Amino acid sequence: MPRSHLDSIISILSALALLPIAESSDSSKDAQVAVDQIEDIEFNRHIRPILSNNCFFCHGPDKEKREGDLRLDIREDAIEAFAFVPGNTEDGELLHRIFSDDPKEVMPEPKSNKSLTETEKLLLKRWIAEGAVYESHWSYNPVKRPTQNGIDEIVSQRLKEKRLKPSSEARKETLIRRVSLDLIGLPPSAEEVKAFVSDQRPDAYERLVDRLLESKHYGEKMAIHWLDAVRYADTVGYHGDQERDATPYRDYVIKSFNENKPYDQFTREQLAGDLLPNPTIEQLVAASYNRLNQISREGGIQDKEYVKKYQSERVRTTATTWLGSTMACAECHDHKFDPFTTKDFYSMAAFFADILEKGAYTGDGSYQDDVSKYLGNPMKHEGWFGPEVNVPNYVFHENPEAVKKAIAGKERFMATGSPEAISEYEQWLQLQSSLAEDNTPLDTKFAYTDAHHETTKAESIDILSYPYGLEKLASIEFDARIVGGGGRGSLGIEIRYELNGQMLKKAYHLGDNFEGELDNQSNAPVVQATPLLYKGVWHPISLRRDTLDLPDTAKLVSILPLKGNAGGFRNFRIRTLRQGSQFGVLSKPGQKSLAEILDKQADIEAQVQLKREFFIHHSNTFAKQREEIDGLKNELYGNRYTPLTVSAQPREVKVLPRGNWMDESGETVLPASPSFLPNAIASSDSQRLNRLDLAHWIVNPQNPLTARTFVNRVWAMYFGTPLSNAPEDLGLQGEYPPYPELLDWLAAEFVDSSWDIKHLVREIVSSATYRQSSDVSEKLYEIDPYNRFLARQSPIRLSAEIIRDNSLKISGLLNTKMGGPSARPYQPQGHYRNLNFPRRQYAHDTDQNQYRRGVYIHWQRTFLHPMLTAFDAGGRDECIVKRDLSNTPIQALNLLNDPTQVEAAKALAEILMKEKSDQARIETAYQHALARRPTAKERKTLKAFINRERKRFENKENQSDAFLSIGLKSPDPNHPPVELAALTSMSRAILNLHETITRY
Amino acid sequence: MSSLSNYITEINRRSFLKKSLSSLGALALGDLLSGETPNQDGLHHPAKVKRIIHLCMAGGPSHLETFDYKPALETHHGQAMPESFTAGEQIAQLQDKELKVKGPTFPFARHGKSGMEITDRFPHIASLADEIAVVRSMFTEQINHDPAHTFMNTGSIIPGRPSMGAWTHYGLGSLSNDLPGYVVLTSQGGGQAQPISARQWNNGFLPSKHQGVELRSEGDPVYYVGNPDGISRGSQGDLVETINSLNNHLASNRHDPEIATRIAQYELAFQMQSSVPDLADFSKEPKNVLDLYGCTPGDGSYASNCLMARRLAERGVRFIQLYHRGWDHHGSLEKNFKTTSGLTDQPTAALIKDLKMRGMLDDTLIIWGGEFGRTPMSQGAAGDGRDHHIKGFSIFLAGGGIKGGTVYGSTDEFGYAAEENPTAVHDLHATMLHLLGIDHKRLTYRFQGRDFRLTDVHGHIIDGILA
Repeated sequence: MPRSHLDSIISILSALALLPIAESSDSSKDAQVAVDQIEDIEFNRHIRPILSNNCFFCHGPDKEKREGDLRLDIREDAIEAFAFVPGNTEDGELLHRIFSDDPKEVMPEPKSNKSLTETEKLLLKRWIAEGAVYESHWSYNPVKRPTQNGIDEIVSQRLKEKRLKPSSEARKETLIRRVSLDLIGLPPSAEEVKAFVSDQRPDAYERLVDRLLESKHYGEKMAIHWLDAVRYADTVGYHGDQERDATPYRDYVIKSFNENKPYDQFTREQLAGDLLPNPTIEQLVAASYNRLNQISREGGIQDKEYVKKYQSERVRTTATTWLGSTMACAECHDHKFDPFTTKDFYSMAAFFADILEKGAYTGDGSYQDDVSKYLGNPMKHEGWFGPEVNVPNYVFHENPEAVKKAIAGKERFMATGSPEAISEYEQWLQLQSSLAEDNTPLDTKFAYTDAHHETTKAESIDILSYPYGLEKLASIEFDARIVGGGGRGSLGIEIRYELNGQMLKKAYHLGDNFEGELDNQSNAPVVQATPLLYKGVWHPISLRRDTLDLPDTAKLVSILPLKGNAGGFRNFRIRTLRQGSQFGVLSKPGQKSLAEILDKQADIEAQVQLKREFFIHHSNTFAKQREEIDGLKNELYGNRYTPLTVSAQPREVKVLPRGNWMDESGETVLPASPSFLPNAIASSDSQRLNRLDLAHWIVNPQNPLTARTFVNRVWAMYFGTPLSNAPEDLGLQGEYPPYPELLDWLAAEFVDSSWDIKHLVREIVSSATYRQSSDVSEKLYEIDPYNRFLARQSPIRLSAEIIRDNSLKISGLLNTKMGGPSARPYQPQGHYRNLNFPRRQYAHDTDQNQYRRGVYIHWQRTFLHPMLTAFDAGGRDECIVKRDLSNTPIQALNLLNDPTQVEAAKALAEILMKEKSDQARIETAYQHALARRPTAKERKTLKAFINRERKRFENKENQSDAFLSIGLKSPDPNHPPVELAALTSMSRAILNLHETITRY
Repeated sequence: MSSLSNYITEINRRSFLKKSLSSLGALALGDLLSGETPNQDGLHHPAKVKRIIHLCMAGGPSHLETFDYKPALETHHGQAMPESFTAGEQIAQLQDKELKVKGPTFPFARHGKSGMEITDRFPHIASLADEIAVVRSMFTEQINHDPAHTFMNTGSIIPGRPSMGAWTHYGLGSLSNDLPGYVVLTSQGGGQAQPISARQWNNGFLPSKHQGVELRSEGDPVYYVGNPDGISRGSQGDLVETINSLNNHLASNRHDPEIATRIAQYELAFQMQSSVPDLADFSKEPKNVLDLYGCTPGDGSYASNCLMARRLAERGVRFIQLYHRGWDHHGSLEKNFKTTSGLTDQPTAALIKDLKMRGMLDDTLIIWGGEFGRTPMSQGAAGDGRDHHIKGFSIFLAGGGIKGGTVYGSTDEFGYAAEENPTAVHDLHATMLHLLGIDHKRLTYRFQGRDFRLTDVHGHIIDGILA
């Protein structure tokens, strides 16, 4: 098989730290030369990968699989078993076996499909000859600060050894585009490029970096990577993949990065925010990390099985995210390569056993503890998918004061009134007086008075008689409460009414997260009337006339609860315009003022008061402003309900033989850290450790994995490749980093700076190593195709979210609002058609939310937005610490034809319309998109293309009307369509360039 | 365009070298092949088939109403299910319910030379009894739809593993220059349609180019394959040429093989913009073919998807997966089964016949089956349904290398557990790869420090069904 051949090349390459070795050569002679070239044989760099890849499976830590009672991962054991005699290449089984030609003797066994190359055999031979010195695995050793001072010193020293020269610094235009895209995920504006290029101060670059690190967009960029690791998404993942709102957690992550929260604190809050003393809402939100895992509400699933699934997933994600370790293997057997035991796996799982949850979020599931002890108040309650915390929007709002000011400003504007508002007020007053004089009771039970119709049983609400059309109705009010059922939401009423002699009905569901059951029962449209209902709590509901969405001439016949309500109603009443308007009921002082005015007793104060209240709260004239104010108020005082981690009675955790959840025979374990790692912690009978203890252990400065894991991934954000190119596995089967001292320097610096993330990032992006040009000569490319020696920068294709942000920013469409509910960009119709329970209709945002950044896109785990999928974002079913960077035709189709991209091209074209000539337009477009001037050839190519497109739009081969109506925003009508369309075509070309989606 | 395809080949070769070296992992066969068309020499052994069509009967069709006739159920109908079968076993929706035996809903008859028993609801499939090999002794490990599909596709219940289509594509590449190598189609009808997730055709830890692409019957068949409104094909072609000319200019100034790949992908995308609509254009299918499938082309039905499967097979798509969401018959089994079988029987048989007429059945492997079977016990107050069941169920295979007219394995007398030749999902995977010329133990990918396989550490080739 050619496979083993190429593998051998790869092994040589990795063994020799990527020395350029001719690919085809592995004859003994060449192999000898290769081995001789190595100055010092290092166990971790040269020997361990060979043993780990080829031998440890049968001769390693897993005692179940161990063959011939030999383990090679411990030197003493290997010597005792006569595997080798240090310093002696004549005796010892190992060398005999690997050089044997006898298929019965040779190692690795032929049936293992593994074989050693000549180079590997000779390396082992030389290593044994030199004494067979072992080193403990690099990532499990303490982080040792190297003697060199900083990134550049380490890199330049190595480059000298390799007789390589560093590349020159990148051009300033390249540098600002690179560092902007890297730090904030947005390209620089043309003005920013100009300012930086002309800034001659010696610290111009450092100032630029400082500015970017202070930008609010820095947190958004950092969050993309973190959210991948912690498997953040908007939906539950399994089966029906229903929504549950974790967006406050996403906002927490962004805010934390922006505030430069130290990594140790960031870690403690996420793993155990709920266990901190007097946790803040932010800390509770942080702890929802523990509940972002996939969960299921599929009918017929077994509660216990799913509890185990969740438990294992948390171990996998936590171990990968914080420790760069693959503990997954240890779920069923002791790890074959790393010292993790099965017991370690379940002891880690035991840290999370206190989390109050069900396995099956169906009728079959149950919590391990009494929920009412922890939930059942407006702050914390039980949702469809377990405990939730109420998060007022202002907690993560980027600027609450500005919103408050905006509200006050609008109210001031409305309070001053307008001629139109005044005449409306006068008409309304007239109506009030006629209503006051109308002595006919509107309804025997409910009109005018505050009389209550009380019931706690939904079924017994009487049908009301209401003999008028809706023109006199202000609102229908009542209290509602949910008592039974799996969670919230299944509560609704139906209004029956007469219109043009026909009996019609309309249903209103009360509460969020509605699942469509009412729809099936009433065959009526469902209108969401109010936010969430907490289980067991009475909530005042007001169905305002304007929210009922019924015609004025409709005559109310009855109001009745819908079947299947798991709750009750009370205090039904109907308010008429006598007490307000179709926009609601007057305040108490307002009602008093109105009564006084109608009795002609009002003083000027009362008149002014009522007029103001009318303008602000009841006038049609200011309906638009009122809607805006409602929006602003919701932005601050609205709520989101996010998964809450509640620490309850811990479940018993047992070691599951072969991972089988039905096998109860394993031993019970208590929380403990993996025993082989330093400063191990373990519960005792008297003291059970908790998640906070785990967090403390993880961020103990002596933990060898935590800092290395994080800095390794951070490095990849700025160089494309992590220092150890298996960020999910720093264990024995991972990659021995070509620059271990650089990884250690960064890790030491990170810990010594008290886990200061911005400091770490600044160190990296300020280095000369980072600032090098990414241009590469053919020769250097041959020597070091993957830039592991760092004699240059690497071009990096932008990630999915940033490709979107980049287009929106270039075209001026980007909405830089932060946080809040997820945004829904254009998406092909029917993308969710294979979903069910409930069926899903996707409606894209029709306002400014259409232009939000990629990090805010609704993340449907089972059917991710096709643009995100095309550019290698994952569904986040589980932790991801490295995305693929593919290059496919599907990507081309997306950039060419996705309405988001076409609309961005149109918006860019509108900007270009301001320029007088094609030449100037091309110049401007290049400045916006690429932060550089076009070359003569580029200008020529694009000019010719614009002209051909002009012809196509003129002669109607292309239809400018249809083309320009793509997207929400209609173009400025003053732009001649043919011209705008031709420039849109040109802008499409620019947004599709390889350079546009690459940072150099 | 001929020079272009050489160019693409060259690019693919280069990016394979890059990828393979950078991942420091195992290499796939397809990556070793010099062109788009696999060369038999690159395989582990001579292949019997070139492509797979997996007809996934999503929801879990009842083996007891399809291919596994159990007279004992008839005899004991309505009686308590003997506890010796059910004690300590996993149960889905029948948890804590009374367990009663349910007899077969429909008559069975013997068909073909082998006399295999097939339900009378499958007259068309039954007419092909000598073409198909039925495995009556399948078992699986997951009793709920979502994880059971995941297990059937990936051989693992841990999310993030590649599906068998992705593995196949990774191993062999595509035979098509202008269509995705792994295509998925869905349809529904007959009882409630359980959701089916895109993770079922995901690439998992394999490079994303190996993921399945969903072909849709509404809107663009492939996302974004249509030009923006108002743009002619000539204009779009000019745009792509302009982009590529600018990208070429960039490539001349810097050494970056990704640019050349990008250029090739834009060419390919533009080709797809005509090849995909051409694929979806059924107008040249003669009436007798439409009648064979019994379909209105392009209506999103299973029948239409079967016809599309043949068209995809003709065009070199390597792995074609059809999901029909309609087999989850917890209640009203008789009525729902009639609907679902009515929607799927004729088209399934038509696909086999059509491929055979075109001489393509010999190099195609067809797999028909659900993610699990259904209980011998009834479900619901009316006792008119069956619950999910994993200890024994039936599938069938047809096509190259398959010994037609075979019945392999059996369940016990109540159809509860696989008894003779129990066959695991990993065995099905091993057999499928075997027929493709791949040794399932040697198709590996290094992830998280481990060489992963579709069959994990399991898998035996089902020799008994091979010709």
